[in-house]
Amino acid sequence: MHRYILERLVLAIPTVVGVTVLTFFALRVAVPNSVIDLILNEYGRNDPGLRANLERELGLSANLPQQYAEWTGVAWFWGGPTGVLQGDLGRSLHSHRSVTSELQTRVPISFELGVWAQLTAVVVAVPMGVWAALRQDKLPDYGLRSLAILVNALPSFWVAVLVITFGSIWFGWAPPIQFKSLTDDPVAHFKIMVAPALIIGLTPSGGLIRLVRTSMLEVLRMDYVRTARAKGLGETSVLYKHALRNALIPVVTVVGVGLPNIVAGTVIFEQIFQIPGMGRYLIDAVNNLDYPVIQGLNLVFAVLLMLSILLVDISYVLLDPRIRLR
Amino acid sequence: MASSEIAGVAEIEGWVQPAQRALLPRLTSGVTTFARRKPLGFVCSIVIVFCVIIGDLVPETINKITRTTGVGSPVPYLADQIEKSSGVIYPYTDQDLRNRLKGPSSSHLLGTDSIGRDTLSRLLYGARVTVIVAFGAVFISELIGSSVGIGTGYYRGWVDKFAYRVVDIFQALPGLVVLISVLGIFGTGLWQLTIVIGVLQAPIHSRVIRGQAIQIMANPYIEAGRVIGASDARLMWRYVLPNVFPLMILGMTLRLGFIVLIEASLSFLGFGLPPPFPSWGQMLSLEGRDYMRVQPGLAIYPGLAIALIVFSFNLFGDALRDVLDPRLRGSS
Repeated sequence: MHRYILERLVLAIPTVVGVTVLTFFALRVAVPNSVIDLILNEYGRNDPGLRANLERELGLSANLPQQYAEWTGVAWFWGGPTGVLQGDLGRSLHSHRSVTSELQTRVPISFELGVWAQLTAVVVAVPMGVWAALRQDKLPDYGLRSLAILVNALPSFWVAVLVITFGSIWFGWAPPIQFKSLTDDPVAHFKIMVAPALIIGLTPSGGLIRLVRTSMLEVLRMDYVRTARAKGLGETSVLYKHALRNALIPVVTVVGVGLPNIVAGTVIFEQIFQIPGMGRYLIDAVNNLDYPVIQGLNLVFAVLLMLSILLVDISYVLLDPRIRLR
Repeated sequence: MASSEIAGVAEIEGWVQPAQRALLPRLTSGVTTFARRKPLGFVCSIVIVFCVIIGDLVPETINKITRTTGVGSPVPYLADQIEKSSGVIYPYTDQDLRNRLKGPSSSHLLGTDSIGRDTLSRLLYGARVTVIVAFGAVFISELIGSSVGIGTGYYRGWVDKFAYRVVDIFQALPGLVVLISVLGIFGTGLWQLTIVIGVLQAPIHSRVIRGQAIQIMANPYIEAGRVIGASDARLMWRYVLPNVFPLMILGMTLRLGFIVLIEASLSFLGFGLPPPFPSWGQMLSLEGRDYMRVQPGLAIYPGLAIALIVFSFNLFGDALRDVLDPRLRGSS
């Protein structure tokens, strides 16, 4: 088991390196206009001296491989500045604030929102899926399946727009404007998070209902469920100990692998509900061509995604004794 | 394939080759069978076809080709034709300043927005973005994903290992964050949107195709093909491709709805087409929030349009899967 985890972590290294190379060089080589032009435009002047100064100041004067080495922190080993390897994602080219510290406050908020969303989706979808499976081809089954398909087709940002625009008119409810962090004021914090979490959870829950239903139906036809019934176990015990536990294995995959994408998708809801996660930060950075911020965000998310895939694979082993024994 | 030879051999054995029906009757009988078995899926396919026609998918594609190659003359758009002849459709930039934020009326069937533009007309023109991005992106991702999938599944070995290291990198990039980064930096436009979404969707799809290709490679007919001296290219093109084709069609239809949602989200955030050209996602954007309170139709119709087309794509995909591949019925 430990060996397996270690192996996977080692295999993830080339992927992470690939992501850094891709984001770094794509930003510098393929982009038609450079960040220096953007900044000089703001000043409204364009003389070569200023340009050279600015390039040196922002660390963009060296050649590309050298810049890459400095950003990743490989250069640190021969006396360069610290970089990604030392946990330093550089500084924003515009605000000159450290990307690492900025992300430390923002990514947890987005991540928390994503976790709440996925959690509500699971809490809602698993019982519904099980119910649909137990009443296969009866009214609840048809109803829930249609509901799942409908929910799947709803653009969740549209629901969010409707809620935030008409919430005050229709239900006398408006989202709180001032953001409070979890440590400052937990109650106010949850009041802010609950609406976006529910709305973001809509789309994944549609898929999950269908997934839980099929996987439950499949498991219920298995021999071991028949065996459990034959040896006289109660129906609750059969359903929840033998069937549901096995039916949830594919669900774990979908939930785990889906989480980073949901966190990435919170960008749009943070815009709508004015939550200071990484959404606004990303959009500003992209509009200003803030290389370190864009690279940092993409890198953080890539690592997050790979970690969650790894966690899913590990949880397989814990959930399914057949894999453990192999 | 020398079909006359086979027919000759068959005659000796007293076997008559079943008459191959023409393409058109086969197609119509296929469609009617589909309609009988999956009525709801068939209705959805009609909605899709309707959107494709309304969205000017064909004229826009032809015009793009003629513009880039400089051959041929531009084809007229259907939306423009409707605008000229119907009387209730206006150009999407047309401002009727005397009728701002009005509800439905005989001259503006779905009302107008804050600067007096007709909502129905903007929905009609907005369909173009949705349809072109959805089909274009799916086509591109299919092209790349299937080529990579078939190639790696066929050659295996180091080609496979190398290609999937690259695919891993692309898959490690998080959906919306990368899309925003790429589109925000490289500028936005109909074809940029299509290509970027298509390319970023390709890796996930290639895995599915690769899995199927590996299974196919284990079949005896591949070996038989090798024995009679078929080249690698021929084996991939004539032996592997036709066998993964149903999977490709499924992958396409099942992802169309997802891509529509991605496109709408991006347009909503302002990374879609630049204004004034309308798109459904952009019509919902937050700048119009105050106007939506006055005229709720502004918030409701574009969202309904997106929901309807995604719903149709999803249900059609499900129905097609049930018909094409009964083993997968009810899965996912």
